[in-house]
Amino acid sequence: MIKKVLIVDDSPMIHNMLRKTLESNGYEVCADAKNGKEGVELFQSLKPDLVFMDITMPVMDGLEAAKRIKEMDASSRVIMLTAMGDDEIIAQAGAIGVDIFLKKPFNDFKIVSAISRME
Amino acid sequence: MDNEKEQQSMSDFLGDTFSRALRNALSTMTGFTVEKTVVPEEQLNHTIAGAMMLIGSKSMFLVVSTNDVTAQTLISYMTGIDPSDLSQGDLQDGITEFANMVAGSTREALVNTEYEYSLTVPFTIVGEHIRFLTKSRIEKYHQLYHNDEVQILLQIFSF
Repeated sequence: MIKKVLIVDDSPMIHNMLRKTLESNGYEVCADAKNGKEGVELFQSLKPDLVFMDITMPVMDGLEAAKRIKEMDASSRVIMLTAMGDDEIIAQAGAIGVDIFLKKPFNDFKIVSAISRME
Repeated sequence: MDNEKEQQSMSDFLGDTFSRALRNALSTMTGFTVEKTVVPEEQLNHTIAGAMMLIGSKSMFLVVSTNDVTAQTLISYMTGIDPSDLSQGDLQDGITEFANMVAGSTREALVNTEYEYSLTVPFTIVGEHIRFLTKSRIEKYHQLYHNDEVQILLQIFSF
């Protein structure tokens, strides 16, 4: 069952949007990370049930961060949420083991439906 | 070049594709629907712009600009945060992220066309009466999207 969610995105607006959607649907946002490196570190310490991951971020991008999280814990659940929706990137995310690939823009329904598909 | 001519100078296909992406992002994220019209940039006091270089065989510079009141309204709708609690940083980040989404959605729609491009990192431009001036050989798409609550100017400079 998914309860604790980690958000990894360099945009405060995306953090706030996701937090609003997740908390109003009964999920707990356990932490916000501003880049992939922070995301990997917070994943290791907090062991969230689910990670929302952007791709284009400073320090470490989301594909590399997702790869490290999957190497750490193959059963981890990662939803990639990005404006970069081309086939090559989707294929790279799939090869890493990203569970669901969502494209921005998004709304509450898109987010909640994606989580439901993983439960 | 007057605005009507500027509007006609860029491919209708390209302009329509960006236009659809902007309207889709706006309606998905906020529920707003908007009308479009051509308004000279100098008549608008836009204070925040998200901008990106789009690199392809035909490279473009995308600018999405608005004023503080519209930015507060949009970001408040998206995040549920009261407009008075939003900082300038929140507004700047929000408009820049919105521009990023418009560029990303349009890119997907233009794959395998002559206009296919790669995205660069987004920039934020702030100030009073933001205007972009160009050399005459640069084609410009220029549309204001608006309703009673918001106004967003989309500009694409193609070269």
